[in-house]
Amino acid sequence: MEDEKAFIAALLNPQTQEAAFRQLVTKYSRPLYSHIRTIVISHDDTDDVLQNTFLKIFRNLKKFKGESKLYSWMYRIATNEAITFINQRAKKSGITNEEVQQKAIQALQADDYFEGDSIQLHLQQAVAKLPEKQQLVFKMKYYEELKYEEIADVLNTSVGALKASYHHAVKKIEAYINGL
Amino acid sequence: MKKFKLDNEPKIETGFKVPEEYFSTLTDKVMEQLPLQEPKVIPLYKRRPVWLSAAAVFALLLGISVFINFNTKPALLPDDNAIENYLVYQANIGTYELYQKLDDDDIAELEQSITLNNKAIESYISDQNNYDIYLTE
Repeated sequence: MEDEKAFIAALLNPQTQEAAFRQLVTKYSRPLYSHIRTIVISHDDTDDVLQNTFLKIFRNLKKFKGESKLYSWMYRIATNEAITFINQRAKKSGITNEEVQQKAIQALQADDYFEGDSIQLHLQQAVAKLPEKQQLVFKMKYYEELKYEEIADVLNTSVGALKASYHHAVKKIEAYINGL
Repeated sequence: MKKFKLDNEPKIETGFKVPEEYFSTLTDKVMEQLPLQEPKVIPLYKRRPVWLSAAAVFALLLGISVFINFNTKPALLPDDNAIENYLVYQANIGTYELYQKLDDDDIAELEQSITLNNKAIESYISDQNNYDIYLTE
């Protein structure tokens, strides 16, 4: 925690800011990339959203109060950016958010940057059919292997509610795959 | 067929692939876009070269004024004939208006240019009909 405080101080100090932020991008680009990719699916869209996320993090560093951990705060920004991206695309195409995600999943089979087998694809299809909140919880818990406490910090909800959401999500996914 | 149960399966990964070199180039790409600290505003009087700029501006202004002085031709004044011709055609300028403008120097100059001899006097008097009366008396 002390380390994090010192790191945040370095991020806010104009003399050390550039080097500290470079360190931050290098350290968090992989986990944030994986998180955004599970939401927006395609690599190119993930790249756009990730860069916007880092810019937003940089611009809002002064507003970071230190009430949550730095990485939870960054995950929250990344989640908001990814969901905003899906909303904007839905609005632009005149379709629903769910349809945007279904389309992205359909495009996976032809995607050069997807090398999943049939069960991986089926799981993606099953997850895309879940309500937004359950999708987020499932992706963060199952794919990204975050702890419930960490997810609770990012999504600003209780651990109990998350456990229930995850349980429902798994049941629906199993039902979907068994029905294929 | 065995029923699918997520917990009984080995971990199913996302299947997503990332282009090679993506993460090695990402950091620089992000850093280039950052609005990093703007340069500090230094008050003008604290900047040493300011007197240099002032001297340069002064020298430039001096140069320009010298250039203008050397290159400006005096306005062309019309010669006497042109003035005379002009005045002839001005109906509102008569003898009266002209001599009102003459000063002592002009008059002295005019007196010098007058050549008086008998022939000139005779010619003048013969043109003036109203002198006949004095001549006949």
